[in-house]
Amino acid sequence: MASAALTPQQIVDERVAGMKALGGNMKGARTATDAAGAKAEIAKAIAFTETMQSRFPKGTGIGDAGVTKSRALPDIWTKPDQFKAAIEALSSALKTADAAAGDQAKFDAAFGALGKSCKGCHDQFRGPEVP
Amino acid sequence: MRLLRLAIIGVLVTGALVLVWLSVPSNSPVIIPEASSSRNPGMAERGAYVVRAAGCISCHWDRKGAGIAFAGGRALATPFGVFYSPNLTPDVETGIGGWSDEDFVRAVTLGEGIHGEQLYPVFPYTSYSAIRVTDVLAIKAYLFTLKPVKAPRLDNTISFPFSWRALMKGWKLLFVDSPPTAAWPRGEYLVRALGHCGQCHTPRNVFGALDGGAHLQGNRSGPDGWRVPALVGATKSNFADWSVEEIAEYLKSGVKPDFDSAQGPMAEVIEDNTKHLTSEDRRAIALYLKSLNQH
Repeated sequence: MASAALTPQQIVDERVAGMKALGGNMKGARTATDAAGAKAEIAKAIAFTETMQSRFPKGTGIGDAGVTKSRALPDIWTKPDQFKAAIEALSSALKTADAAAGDQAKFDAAFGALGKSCKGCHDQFRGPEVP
Repeated sequence: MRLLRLAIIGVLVTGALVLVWLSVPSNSPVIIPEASSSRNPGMAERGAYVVRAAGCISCHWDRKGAGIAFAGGRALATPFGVFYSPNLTPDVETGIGGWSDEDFVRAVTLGEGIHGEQLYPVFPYTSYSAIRVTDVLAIKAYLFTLKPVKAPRLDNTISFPFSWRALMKGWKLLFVDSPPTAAWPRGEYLVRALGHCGQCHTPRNVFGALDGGAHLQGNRSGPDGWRVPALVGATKSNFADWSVEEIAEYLKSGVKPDFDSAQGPMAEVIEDNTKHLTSEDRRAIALYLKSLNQH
């Protein structure tokens, strides 16, 4: 994703748009009327999650040169192991949800865990909203 | 000349009277029905729940400074300066251990301190004035079960003239409505009285008073500098589109319908308070908020 053609802010913007789409996929999966629909949305979410790490090249966080608006905290780059673990947690929560599609009780539980994984990562690696 | 002299004397006398009035300690009479006494059985258990709904701990706990829950000391930065929350544990010397039921009701619902001093409206008595006496005293009963902590009050750093506490007496006269007596539905009671949501989500005027005409319409200068989103008539956010179930879920898990998560003070509100409520109460809150967005 960190194409040389993109400025740091463009990388941030693309990342933000991707995160919003990811949220949309989650919601789509949650509200899908059948297992196939849910799985299709989760597949998109998994595909995005696989690109997650590459969407956070060094120099695209709060306070970096050329970044005017971002909420990405320095911990992403100073604690790379924890960041990687957070992405893996999301990935595994998505796979659990995928396997649970069709079984409402299991699917609900999987989404509870999925929500926690979103929140866990945001709490640690995302700063306050920028006006 | 004579007229001018009379006018000047009039202004001085009026000013002096106002100053005297402001400096007289407040000790408003409060009536406590027998059934509401904090000593009644079951009140502490009831209070353990009410205290969550009223969100006391979020301010009366210096979490970042590794303080003790309910012992106060948390700094709250506002446009008027920094306030430090006082100690709510039953320590006699530095907490509320020596307070009577009347003292507690006066403080919570009228903003009058134990010595008749005026409390700053950073303590949300403008919302708490609508809490039922039994609920107020249930909170007190619960607080009195806590281990007393010696935690002296920290000095606020507030700019003049607001540093002059007595001025709040005039502020109350101007900006505090008499407590509403209407029987609010549960959700409205939770939002407007106990939950005091408007203290952050409603904009304030230059005197720091809530703009009653813009209830829950968002506040650009919220606590600690946070921009607090609108819950009514939202323009930027899509809160108005959230379903009742989605609002209730958010209050339970902090996860928004788009899988974004609560942050800042709201994350604390959820963690400390709303997630501990019954699902019926969360739903009541959601129904009330939803009703405000349906015209």
